[in-house]
Amino acid sequence: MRTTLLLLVLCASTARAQVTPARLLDAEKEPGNWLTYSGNYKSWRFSPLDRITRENVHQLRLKWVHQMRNPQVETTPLVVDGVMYLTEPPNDVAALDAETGRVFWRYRRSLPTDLRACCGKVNRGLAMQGETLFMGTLDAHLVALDARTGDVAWDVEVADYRKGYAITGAPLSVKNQIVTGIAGGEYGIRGFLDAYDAETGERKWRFYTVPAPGEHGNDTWEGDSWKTGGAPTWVTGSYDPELNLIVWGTGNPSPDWNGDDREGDNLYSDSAIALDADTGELKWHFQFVPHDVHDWDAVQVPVLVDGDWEGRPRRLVYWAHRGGFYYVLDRTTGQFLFGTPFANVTWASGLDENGHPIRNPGIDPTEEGVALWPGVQGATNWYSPSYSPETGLFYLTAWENKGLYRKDDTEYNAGDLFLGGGIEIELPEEPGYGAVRALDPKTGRKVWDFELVGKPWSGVLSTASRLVFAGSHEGYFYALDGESGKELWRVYLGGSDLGSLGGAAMATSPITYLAGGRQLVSMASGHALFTFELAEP
Amino acid sequence: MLILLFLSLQTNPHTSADDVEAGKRVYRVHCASCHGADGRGGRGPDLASGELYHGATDADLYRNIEDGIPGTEMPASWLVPKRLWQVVAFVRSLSGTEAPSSIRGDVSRGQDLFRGKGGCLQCHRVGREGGFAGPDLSTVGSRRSPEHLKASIVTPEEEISLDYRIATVSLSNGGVATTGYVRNEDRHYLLLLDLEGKLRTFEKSGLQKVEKDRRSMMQSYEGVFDDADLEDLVAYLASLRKTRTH
Repeated sequence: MRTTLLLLVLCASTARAQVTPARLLDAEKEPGNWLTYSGNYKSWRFSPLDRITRENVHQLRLKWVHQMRNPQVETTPLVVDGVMYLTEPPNDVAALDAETGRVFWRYRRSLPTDLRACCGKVNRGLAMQGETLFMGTLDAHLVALDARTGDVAWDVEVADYRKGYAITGAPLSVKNQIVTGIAGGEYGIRGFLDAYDAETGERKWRFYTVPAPGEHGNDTWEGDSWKTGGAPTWVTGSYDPELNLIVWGTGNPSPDWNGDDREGDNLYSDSAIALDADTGELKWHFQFVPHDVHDWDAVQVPVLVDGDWEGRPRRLVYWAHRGGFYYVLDRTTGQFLFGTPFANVTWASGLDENGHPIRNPGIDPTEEGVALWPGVQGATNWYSPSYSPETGLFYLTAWENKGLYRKDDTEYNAGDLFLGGGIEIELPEEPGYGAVRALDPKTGRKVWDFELVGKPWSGVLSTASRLVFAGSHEGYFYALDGESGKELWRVYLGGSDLGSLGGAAMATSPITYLAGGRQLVSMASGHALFTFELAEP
Repeated sequence: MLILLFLSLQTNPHTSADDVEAGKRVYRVHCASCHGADGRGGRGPDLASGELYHGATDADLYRNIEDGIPGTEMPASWLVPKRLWQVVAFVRSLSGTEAPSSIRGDVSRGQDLFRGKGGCLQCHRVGREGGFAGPDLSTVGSRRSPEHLKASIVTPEEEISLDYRIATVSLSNGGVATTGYVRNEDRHYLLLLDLEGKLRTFEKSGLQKVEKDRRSMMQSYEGVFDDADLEDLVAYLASLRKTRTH
């Protein structure tokens, strides 16, 4: 009898370790795990866990630390049935016991020495399906690893890294496919979004984010400029299973700061795109910044919410864009519903009825430089926002900052930077500030601000107990009251100024999960991942 | 290693007149704000003097422009190899074009003014002598143009180095206000080097007031020094140069 029971338990746990498409669809029903980059397909980075509360959060204490070889850690770990899987810079993977932090295995990838990773040798995480983990690499491969051993199941080239292609974002597991974006907007790549068969690594579809002649939108590119048009897809998108739509953000057109040779709107750069998950066919798009010359990527995580809009239920997308405006889009059609600045913006006076920016004069980069709010790192950037159904608020980390944009001549050479200018990220005379910010997603109104001196480079997690967790460039990890923004707990994890490009040591977004029956919270800073638990269970 | 060797042996493959002209355009956008439109320096060193303190080979210049120079204000750039070489070619073309020196003063008299009437060592260091309340001037002649040096004496508030931003804090429980140079600041703490040379940490929650102002702790010496004095002082400061490191 006992043997039978044991066998049953073993079988159950084996079956359990399979991350099936059905489990991913119902990720909310297993709050003890963290199954996708943003926690679930809606990308709320919200956890239904409520054991850590506003009342007891002050008891949080260190449980374990996982050290890595290099900064800058931008990964969001996955947690599946007691095992944590995470990427380590540049392209290593580790499997740990989520309760103790002890390592089961490590995969170390050997990378070429001539990588083109303009902006840091970083990786933001994994996708999982069945017993397999998936990672995109800096040399633009997609690698499948056996989650039990770290052995390579397959390894396919997505694009030629010598031409400036790289993968830094976490893939998304949808049905039996692995969807991956691509980076390289500073190298004049031609951007795309790809889907691969999870079993075999065979490519199922590719959607080019820059259309070729004969395809819709090619006439928004001057001459042959589409061939080097950029529009990368380097941050993980979202999935709506009912509409069977993948919603994803695209980055800047190339070259970044000189648009003279790419006259036109430059579709589908700086856009939200919605693709049929089975075919990769474009269903709709919304371009935040037509003909961008400031590097204001739309590489934010699309937050999918079903809510009332003007008295009627509607499928929505919430989006706080790098250029400083917050948008609400209709998820079925891509129709612009609403938009308003969420930070100081001097480049546009507002949005027109179609959601297009009403540009102010004199904002294009010049040789001498043009100073604008926001600066090139944006009013926000790739790090995750969070939506809490408990408070009904949309949380993000914001930069109030001014930067200088310079224009330069440019010439395309495959594999070389293709920028068309230069930037000054922070102006000493006007240092600006950072904030963890709560918006009313229906109106874009700021509900509260938790001000920081330094600019955050990390995202936000919210939980069912109305807590918000966020990191700061200053090296603090905070728990805030999701309703008021009041600080409830903080710990100094140190290490500011360790990052590349003046970036932050704390450059990821927190997660929470269950291990050993307890709610844990993990956040990376510097070279390490720190995990916290309540002192009193 | 092979690449390093290759680079160190490599000479500039882009040296035509067109390359120099292209390099000048890149220079205007990326370099002129510190090194001056004509390359004769400003906030950054003179590139036309022929003295390049961080290596004078083409490969040194290339590396310094590409990666920046650690420990200095020279940042890395995002230029592609061809453009880097073109800037190197332009910088080379400046060498030897230096206009007759604008320094006419007497170095020795300038040194006397610096140590005597000016009392500059109270705040500034030169070599092993001097105070800590202002920037170390031991090698300032390598970093700043004569015009910039003069402006720093006459209108010191025009450009305040990030390390010399001032804050004055008053504690909630009274006591004497403390003024110092901001060494670090976050949401919770302000770290100062106070004017007595102590490193101090203030918890912001215990402060009644934090005043940050953009003034310089250095007074203007306009009127203290006449034009001849200023020329001598600038001549002395310009003579404070470092020897080449490599």
